[in-house]
Amino acid sequence: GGVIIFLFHEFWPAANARLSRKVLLLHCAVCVVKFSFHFRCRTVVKKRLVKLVVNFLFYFRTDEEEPIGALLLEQCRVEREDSQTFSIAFLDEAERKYLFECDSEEQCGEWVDSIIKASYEFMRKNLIFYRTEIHRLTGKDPLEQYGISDETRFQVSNGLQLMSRDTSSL
Amino acid sequence: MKLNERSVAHYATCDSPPDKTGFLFKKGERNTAYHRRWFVLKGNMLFYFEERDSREPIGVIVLEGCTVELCESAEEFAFAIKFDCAKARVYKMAAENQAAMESWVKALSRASFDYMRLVVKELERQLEEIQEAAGGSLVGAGVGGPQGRPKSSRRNQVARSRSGASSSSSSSSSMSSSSSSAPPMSGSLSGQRSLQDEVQLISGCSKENGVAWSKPPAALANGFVEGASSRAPPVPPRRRGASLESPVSPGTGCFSKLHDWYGREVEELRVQWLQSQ
Repeated sequence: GGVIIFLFHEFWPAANARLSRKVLLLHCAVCVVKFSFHFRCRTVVKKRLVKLVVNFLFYFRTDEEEPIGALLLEQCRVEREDSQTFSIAFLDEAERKYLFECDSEEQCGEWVDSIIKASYEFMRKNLIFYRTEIHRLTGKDPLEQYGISDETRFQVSNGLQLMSRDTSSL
Repeated sequence: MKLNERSVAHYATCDSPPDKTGFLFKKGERNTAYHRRWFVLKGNMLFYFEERDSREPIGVIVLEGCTVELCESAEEFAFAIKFDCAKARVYKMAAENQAAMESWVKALSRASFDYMRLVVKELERQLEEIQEAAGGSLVGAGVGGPQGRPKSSRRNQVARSRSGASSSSSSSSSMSSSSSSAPPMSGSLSGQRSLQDEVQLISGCSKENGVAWSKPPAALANGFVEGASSRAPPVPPRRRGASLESPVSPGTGCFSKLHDWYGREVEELRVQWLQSQ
């Protein structure tokens, strides 16, 4: 099928300018483990610089300014693997995990937390919750004053119901 | 530069709700005619497909730090997506009528991650104020957990008891329908919990893992504990619908990104990637 080529060079200078507050800059060892159905396991460990910018995780060779790759952090699952390691797996390819080893337990926790929050879908859910809750408590829709209460993305049920998920598999 | 293309394409076509869809004419880069494409806006990503029923997008534009403006064009109902970089390509688009044009311009100018983040922070702040003002008199109004942020509140709804998939990072479980149904609350267990238990759950989970939706409920709660974040100033999101030319939102830096799809085999890229490791 088709493939996106992410033309990045325009993005980066601007992203650099915004590093101060919004980007976590950590040295992580990146270990990529590929699981296959045959249980062949190929492990490659590389040390990479990792930068989180909005919902993208960029990675660099440690001595280079330009990233070599990026991961869009939507539709993914972030898990703590052990005290210093976390993983990212994408839902369409769940058998494959990107592993990240951090320098400390605390750092690992920060990364997991940040990556969880670095998704548009996550923010959307939060927003819907806050909106619903504020409405419940005050009878007012907080988005009305901003004139955005009709936007599709802010709707409580986009054809989706506030219903319980199937917990039986857990 | 590499990207997790397959997962990006998956995001485009999965069942998470798009923010806007429709036909637009897009001016080509090499062939400067306008081509009619099917557009799908999800979050800060604007995907476009050759046909409405195409299985995969042919391109995506990342809408960070762009401005969306009306532009002069031989085409009617034309507008442009511009980035703040001299080298960046300008995406010229045209809608099929005035209403569609206005609607798209509005949607695209507000599609950035930062805009969403501002809105969320603003509502978060409002909710806190409401909860603090109500004090303890509101039953279950909030949990003043160790992080000092009354985030979650009790609800009778069953939705509350099912944390899981929906609280985890950007997940849309393949088992269940798209994720936005349940609120991002920490109280993930079914049945009743005391507020105190909830506090424990929230703080405990925030330290640990908290995200794998396939794990047992206790591990799933996450989302809510933004203990780390300090309060953002309450900047209301840009809303003046009349100014179609307005930049995205105050404080947004300008990112410029260009994306084009090329027809290459995914497998080929994977091989390359593996070889480079």
